[in-house]
Formats: sequence, C-alpha cells, structure tokens
Amino acid sequence: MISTAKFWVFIVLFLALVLGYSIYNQTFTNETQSFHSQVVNLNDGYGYQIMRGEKILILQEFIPGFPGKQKFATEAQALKTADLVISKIEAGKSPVLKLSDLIENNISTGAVH
Amino acid sequence: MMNKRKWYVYKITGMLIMAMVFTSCSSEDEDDDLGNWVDKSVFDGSARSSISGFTINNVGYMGVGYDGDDYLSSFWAYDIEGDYWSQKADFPGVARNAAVGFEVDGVGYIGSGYDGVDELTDFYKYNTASNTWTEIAPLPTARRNAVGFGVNSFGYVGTGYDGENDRKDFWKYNPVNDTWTELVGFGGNKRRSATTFTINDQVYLGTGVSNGVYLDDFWVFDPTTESWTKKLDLDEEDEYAIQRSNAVGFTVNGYGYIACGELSGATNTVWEYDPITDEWEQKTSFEGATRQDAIAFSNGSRVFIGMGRTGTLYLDDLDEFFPQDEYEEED
Repeated sequence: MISTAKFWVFIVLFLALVLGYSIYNQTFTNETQSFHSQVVNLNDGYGYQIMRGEKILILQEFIPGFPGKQKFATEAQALKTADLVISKIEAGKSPVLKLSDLIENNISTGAVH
Repeated sequence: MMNKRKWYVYKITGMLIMAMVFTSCSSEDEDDDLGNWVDKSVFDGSARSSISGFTINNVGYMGVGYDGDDYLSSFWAYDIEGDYWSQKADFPGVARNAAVGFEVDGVGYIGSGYDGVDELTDFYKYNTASNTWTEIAPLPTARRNAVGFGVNSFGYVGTGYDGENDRKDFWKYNPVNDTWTELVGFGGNKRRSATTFTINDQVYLGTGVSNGVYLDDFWVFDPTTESWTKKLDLDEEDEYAIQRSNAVGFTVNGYGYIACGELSGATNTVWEYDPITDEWEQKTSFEGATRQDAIAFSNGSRVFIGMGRTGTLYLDDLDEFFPQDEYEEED
C-alpha cells in the first residue's frame, strides 16, 4: 500500500516538474500590455511617443507626414494626435496618419517662430 | 515486493526523464545551419509589401508599397539603436509599389514602380537632415520590379518589367547634373524582381524571373570600370537552392546574403555568399512567416528584415539576423 502511494507521489511530482519546466520555458511577452502615449517637450514645440509598457514603438518629433521639421504647437495637439494613433493601432489599423486625419483634428503645423 | 515496486518506479521515472532529455536534444540538433533571428519592433498594423527604402547611418527608411487594398505613400524611419519607428514626410509622388530605393552619398532615392495601372518613371530624392523630398529627372523608361543601387557617387537602375516586357537595360544617375545615361554591358538575361548586394563597392546581382524561369546566372559590377563579370551560377553545386525572385539582398561583415522571396510560393530560406571563394552556404531560415517582397535594412554590421507578404497576407514584423550565431528558438 505504502509503495503504491509512493508511486503516485512520484508521478505527481514528476508531472509538476514537467509543468513547471514548460511554464519556465515560455517567453513572457508584453503583448498584453496596453498602449499609451507620452508628450515630448522639444523646447520650441512638442512631439510624442507611443509606448507599449516600457517600450517605445513610435517616436514622433515632427508632425507625421509633413515635410520638414514642424513640431506640434501645443501639448494638447501632440497628445490628441498620439491618442489618434493609439486608437488606430487598437482598432487593428495602420498607425499611419494622413493629412486628412490632421485636418479633421484641427492639428495646425505649429511652432512657427 | 516493496523493493521491487520501488525499483519499478525509479525505472519509469528515469525512462521518462531520459525521453524528455532526448527529445529536447534532438530538436536542437536537427538544424546545423548557422544564423539566429531575433524578433524586433512589430510595426503594428502597417503591413505592406513591395516596399522601397534605403539605410543611412543607423536609420532604415522605407515607404510606399501595397497593403492588399491600397497603394501607399507614407514613409517611415526605423531607428536601429532605439528599435522604434517615426513617420516621416509623405512620399510626394503617386502612391505605388515595386519601386526601387537606394542611397548615394547620404541621400536617399525612390522612384519608378507601379501605381496599379501604369509602370512609372518619376524619381525623388530624400534629404534626411531636412525631412524633405525633391523630384529629380525621371528614369528614361518606365518599369517596376527593377533593381537599384548606389555606389561610387552614382545611382544605378536596371532590369525590371515595363508593362509588356522584362528588361535588361541599365541606367546610371549622376546627382551632380541630375541626368540619366544608359549603361551598356550587362551580359545577363532580361528579368524582373532580381536582387543585389554590395560588398566593398562591388555590386553583386542575381536571381529574378522571366517568363516563368527563375534565372541562375550571377554577376558582379565593378563601378570603377563600369563592367560586369560573370560569377559561378546559382546552381553550380547540387545542394544550392538559391534561385528565386522577389528576395531581399544585403551585406553583413563582408558577406552577401539572399533571403526570403518567391519560388512557386513564398520562401524563407537564406544563403550566404563568400566573395573570396565565390561559394554559397545555407543559413538558418528566416524565423517569421515565409515571405516575399520584404525589406532589409543593413548598416553593414547589423541587418533587419521584415514586412513583405505571404500569399495575400501582408506582414508587419521585423527580425534582426545574426548570421554567425547559433540558432535559438526563444528570442
């Protein structure tokens, strides 16, 4: 009787080991971490970064799509634009911003000296 | 009785452990090819193929392309050190795919291609410092799926498909006087969707397809003499399986590489070229989904491959390739 119990203890221990090993072997990813944005102060204007957890995915120092190095005039505009990008990513769409997106959101090409 | 049972338990446990060790070992040993792939930034949601771009210093630039629904004109930069993307000034020409991209003396160029209706001739240069595009002289003949490379302060565009025929002509762009002149002397056959890589200012050209035939010739272009020399064929050795189209070509630490592409369906195999021996060696296949019409960013010592498509699925991921490392599944 004792030896049968021992047998089952061994099996359970062994299965626990296998399970532990397989969990240990899994690469933990940040896939489940949510997207968020941070406004970047560039002295004469604003930019933003799109993050997932601690990781920067997109760093935008200039208004996307526009030629030249035009910064956002206000912190609010940078934040609004970043949130628009996040909403696109979360909807499974491309994070590309088009001129029409910027016009719709009243983003003016800021930091005119 | 008890001892016998105990021994039996040990025996079963031991056999199970041995079986586990054995299977994990054999899965590591099944592939002897060198080369490791590491997942990098996923370019969330902007899946696209037949993209064009260039690498300047530690930034890979890519733009235009096709996402399965639309021809694209947005343009992005990938920061190799920081592992993040930035959306740059939109490509000013009509949205297109299958254009060529190359770099000459720190300036990026994208032109030619296909807008869904016509093959194109228009060409643009990108200034990384000012984030601006300027139109330059158009390529004299329209085409898509050409090859383009910058070397020795000139740009070169050749081969491709003009809407009716595959081509074998080459054109040389001089940025100083903004002119294209025809470059004669390419001895290879006409083709589309070929691949090039550059090692020590020597440009190697191979692969591509014409009339359903995947070409097996391989060439090197010396820009100082502007002459082409034939190298050993891509099917020189029995074990070679290099022929394909729509592949990516790149250079890392003095070796050339041809990766992924199309050969009656998307492929993920990778071959390494040694310019000293004129020989090829197979590397660990691309770890992500098999793909064609991808893009490679290389600064000479590091390389990143991504985007592209497999069938009608358009991809948005990017992997870094370490050609001389042992393969690891987990990274």
